[in-house]
Amino acid sequence: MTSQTSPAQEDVLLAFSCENDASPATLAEYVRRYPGYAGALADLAVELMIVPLREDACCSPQDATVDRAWETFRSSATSLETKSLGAAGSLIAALPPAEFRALAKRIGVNTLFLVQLRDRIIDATTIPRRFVELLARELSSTVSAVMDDLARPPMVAASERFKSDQKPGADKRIAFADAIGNSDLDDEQQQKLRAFMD
Amino acid sequence: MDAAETARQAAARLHSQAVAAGHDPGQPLAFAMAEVDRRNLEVYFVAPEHPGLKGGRASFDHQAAHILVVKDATDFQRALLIAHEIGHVVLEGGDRDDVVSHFNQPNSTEAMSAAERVVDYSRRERREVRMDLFAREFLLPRTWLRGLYLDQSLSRQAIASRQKAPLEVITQQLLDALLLPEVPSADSSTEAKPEKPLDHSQAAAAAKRGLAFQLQAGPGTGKTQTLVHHIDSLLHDGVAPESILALTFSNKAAAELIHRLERKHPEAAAGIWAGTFHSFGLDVIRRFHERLGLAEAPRLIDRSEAIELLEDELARLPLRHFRNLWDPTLVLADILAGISRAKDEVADAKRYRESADAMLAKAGSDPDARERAEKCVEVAQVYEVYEKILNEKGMVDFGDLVAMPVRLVENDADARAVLANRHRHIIVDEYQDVNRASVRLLQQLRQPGNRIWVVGDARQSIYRFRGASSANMASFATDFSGAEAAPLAVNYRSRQEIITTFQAFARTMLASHSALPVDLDPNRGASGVRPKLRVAGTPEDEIGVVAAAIEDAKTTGASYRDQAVLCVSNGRLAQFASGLEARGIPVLYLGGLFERPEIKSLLALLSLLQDPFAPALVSVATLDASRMPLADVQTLTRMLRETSARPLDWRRIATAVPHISAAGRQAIADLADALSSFDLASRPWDVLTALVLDKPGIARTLHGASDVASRMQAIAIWQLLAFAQVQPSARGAPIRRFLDRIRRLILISDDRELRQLPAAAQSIDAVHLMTIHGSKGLEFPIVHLPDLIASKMPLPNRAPRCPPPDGLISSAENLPGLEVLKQGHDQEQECVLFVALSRARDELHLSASSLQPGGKKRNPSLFLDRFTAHLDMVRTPRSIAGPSPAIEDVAITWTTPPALTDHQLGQFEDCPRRFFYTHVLKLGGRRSETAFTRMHDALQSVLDWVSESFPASNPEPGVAETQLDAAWQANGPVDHPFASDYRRIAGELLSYLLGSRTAGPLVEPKPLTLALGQSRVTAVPNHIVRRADGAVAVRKVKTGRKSSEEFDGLDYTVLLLAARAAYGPQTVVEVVHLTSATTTPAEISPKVLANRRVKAETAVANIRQGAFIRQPVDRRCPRCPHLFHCGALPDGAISAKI
Repeated sequence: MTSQTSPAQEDVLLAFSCENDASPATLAEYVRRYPGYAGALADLAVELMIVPLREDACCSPQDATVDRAWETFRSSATSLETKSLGAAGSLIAALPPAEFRALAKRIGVNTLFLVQLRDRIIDATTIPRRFVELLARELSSTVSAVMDDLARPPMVAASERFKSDQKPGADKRIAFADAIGNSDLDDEQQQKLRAFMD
Repeated sequence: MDAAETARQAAARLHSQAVAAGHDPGQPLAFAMAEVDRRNLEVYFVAPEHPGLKGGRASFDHQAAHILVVKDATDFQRALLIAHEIGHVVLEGGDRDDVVSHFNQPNSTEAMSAAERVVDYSRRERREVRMDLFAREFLLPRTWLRGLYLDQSLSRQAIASRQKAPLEVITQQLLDALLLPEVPSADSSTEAKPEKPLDHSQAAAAAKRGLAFQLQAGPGTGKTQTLVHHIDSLLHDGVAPESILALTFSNKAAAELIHRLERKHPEAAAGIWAGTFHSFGLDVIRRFHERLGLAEAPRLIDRSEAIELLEDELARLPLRHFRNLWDPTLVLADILAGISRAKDEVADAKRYRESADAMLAKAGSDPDARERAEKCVEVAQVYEVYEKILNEKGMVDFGDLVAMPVRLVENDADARAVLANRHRHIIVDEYQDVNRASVRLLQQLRQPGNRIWVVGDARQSIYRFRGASSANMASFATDFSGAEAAPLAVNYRSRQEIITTFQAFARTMLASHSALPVDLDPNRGASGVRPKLRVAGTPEDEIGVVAAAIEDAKTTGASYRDQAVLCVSNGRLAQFASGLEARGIPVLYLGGLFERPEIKSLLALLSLLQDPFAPALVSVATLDASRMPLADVQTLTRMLRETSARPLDWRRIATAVPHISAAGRQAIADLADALSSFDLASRPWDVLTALVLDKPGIARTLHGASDVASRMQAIAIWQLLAFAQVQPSARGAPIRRFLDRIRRLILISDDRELRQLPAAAQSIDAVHLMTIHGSKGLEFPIVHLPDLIASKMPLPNRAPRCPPPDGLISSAENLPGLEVLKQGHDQEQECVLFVALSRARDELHLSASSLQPGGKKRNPSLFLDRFTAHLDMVRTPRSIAGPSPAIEDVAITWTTPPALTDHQLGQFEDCPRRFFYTHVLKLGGRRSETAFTRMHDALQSVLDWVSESFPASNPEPGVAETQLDAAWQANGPVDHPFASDYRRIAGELLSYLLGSRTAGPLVEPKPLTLALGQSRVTAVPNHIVRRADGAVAVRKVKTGRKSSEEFDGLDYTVLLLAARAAYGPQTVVEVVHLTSATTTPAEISPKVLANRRVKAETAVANIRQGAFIRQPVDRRCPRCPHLFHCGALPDGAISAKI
């Protein structure tokens, strides 16, 4: 019943702060994933926006600066559709639910597996190239764009080690093969996926 | 209908649909999975460490449209988790992720610990509880469970095993199903009415974009609608929801605001920070705990816990004025109230001490001024200790919730910047209720570009006792530069005649001096009927007058639930409740939960498990399930005493006792059966739920009855169980701790939350009864306002026992602390009346008694003069007579005429019923043991020893000390951390006693008797000294301190008369008080003495006759050993002797 700052929240905030670009769309994603931490994320977002802007305070009065900062968090931060594929948000995360499911089907996985891909829990270096090609086709994107996307830090603190004080990073990810094993896929699906690894 | 009930009804509907589609609720997991399939969702059962769970037991991913649930849980638990996530989808649209962190909240939204209630769950936690309720309802709908339990007569254990569900969940649902009234399902007509368009004043206010704006909103002007619109307009302007901070005064107001915002802007509402000042403060404390030097999640404690913390420390504090060695609870409550007031002003212990020291210096040699200042210094010392303890234990109290954030932002520029940058649009509701600390906080949140928009009504400022001050409304323009103020113009609630009345009063109010004039446009027009003022006879007669007015209103089409009776005090409310009920009018009133007979019965039953002498049998014997005559109770309890029984021996005793009636034997057997699986160590919740749901199954009986009184009993029991469920765990036997906690709550009057009715109660057709404070923010078609007499309106100002030191409370004129409070009081009393007058929509009925209960005349309230011109006076109003109270004497046959002592006669005068329990039935009743009581017991045994062994001389000091050491080892609080301090105190008290015995030569006491009527009463002095002037001083010794009405009791009357008869007319009576170290002669004039003698004779006659009426007194009952079993007496005659 208490709303303590759990280790999970710390991890999430840390992950957010490591995003290359703390923009509205990224905030929106994080808030969707962790609605319970919305307040803390909003606090953090303000800090991240304000600090660099304060450094050129000589160029603009502070209130206008803050206004601008807040303008960038306008309703887009809470809108349902975040179509921008800019630097923020993974390609997969941008899909509406129906398309997310359809994509899973098309590439021969279930949603449990696809979520791990979306959240970049799977170590990009272990993903077979042919699978990436399939993904790229289905996402109407390029292999290099998809690889870049998958290689970014995980949005989720992929950890059973919530008490760990290591920063989220590459070493918290799991291998493609492990993901095949922990996603409740049926034997046929598992076989087909393993085939990509040959 | 509230959000929780909406959730449950949605769940119940889904359940029905699923059953209609052929799914079997007897298989909960499959049942839940079927619903998942129907919604095209997927479920995966995963290992607990699976990252998708995000640390919870279940999670929902909105994009993947799948639910993850832990593998390692029972079928039912998994079903519940799935249902929880389904609830999230059904009620919130399922466009956000969710995590469920635990299996099941045991409590409904309405059962929270005291601390949690005031601060309230965060919005997210409330949502989670709502989803849990949905889940439970989906799998186990209340109607269905009720059917299984009532129609199919399945026990809850049988149901639990059938459903493979935990007993706790079944229990919780059954209690809700049986004890709470059913809320009719929502139809469109009961849903929110379409919103009226804004009037010009509302629209103008909503559009304000200045730096500081104060909306002065009179009653019924639609301020909440305006506030919601203002936020609306900000969102339309493109303001980010996260930058909006909306602060209210009460949780109810916060929830209402959020509810309205969520309906209009489901997305944005989630980003707006809306809540009370206290919950905001707690949030700030948690966010900045490091800068404040606190643990990550400091624990919030309430008044009751704070008292417990301080009790231990009390022994080592050098208190004199506030020393109470027997029962420090009330003293501590008073001191903590003083400390809380200081925190309202952001004054820390250091500042308090400085102000107190300054006051002492200024006092010079004036004894009154010195005493006042010394008291302030003592409070300052306690404050220092208190802060130290809180700090060490990582705790905060309510005062800290605002004081700490204020100190943070006033001293820490970074923290201030973070908060001010985040919260840029500040909106405050009920601004007349904010305290000074809150204003300072708001001031710090201002930075260029930020805006503050507040709404309030200075004429409705009635929460002074919580530190609010309507001065803040008046000083808004000085507190916030560039401020603008405007009023709302239209009253949508009341008819013109009512508005005219309260506006006439408003013009004369002190609060109006610095407020905009109130001149409201009556939107509903005139009714042609003016408010009435009925003048009744005695207060009892006034109840009959109000009853007649209620019934008259019914003949014109109003229902009972359209009407409300508003009283100033709880005591009068209780009188109205029983008076109206006795006249056949149903009332919606809980009152003091623990004063209700059905609650006391349950507590009496509970206490049977822990008190070996089972005094509760005297109460339990009046219940249907365990009826037995008084004589049986007498016999059984005597047997238990004589055989030095241990707890629960009463279960076997009936077989060993020959002359018990058959009914008595059966009663004991049934009780033993009902309590067979419980003992001392059982949890109150387990025992109470068994009594209510299993045997004797009180819920079953109550559910069958449809009258309002039974409905209210059921609600009261539900309330008690909710209270029992949140018992904090600590050392010591749970039942004992539970009962002690209840005593303390009653004593410090901290049961306000328990007087609130759960939302479901609103559907009952009964007259609403509440205090004027409770009516704030509400409205009723018809309002009855009695007690408009001089002594109640305004109430006399009672200075707090620990007034603040001068200079602590900021005031314009630099008045001393007491004066500031007095001014505030007068102003507040006017506001109380204003609030009461403005609650009515259609009809307002005022009344006043013209006679006191004894028959002497009494004056109407002076406030009435200010607006009588607008009232219709009714001088001989219709009245419905109530039944005359049946006073039944106990049929006693005295085996020998009662041999009474002065002490016993004094006790009889205080409360005849207590005398009966203690001296006639000789029921003990355990009292809770604290270090103080144990010290007292040890000391008392030494005092007795001195009296017995040294009637005419004094023991050597060494001898007395040795005796004290021995008594200390035997009875004293030897294992207490501060045992040495208690021992030192005991030694001091003993020294004072021995010293008092050296005032003159000791005279060996002989029995002093007095003939009163047909009896002789014996007076037993502690010791007798011959004074220097030759007169004999007969002495009483008391361990406490002298009270102001010390000599009013019959015990002094008897002692003085008997002493003079024995030693001559010059004889005096003196009382030695050990705690205050005083010896005082009793001064009673001959006339008074003669009157008291007559009183004493009457008392003796009443005792012989068996007239043992109850005389409840707020401060006395909670300390009485018979508290839980005091009530109706069993039938039958007894023989007794004293």
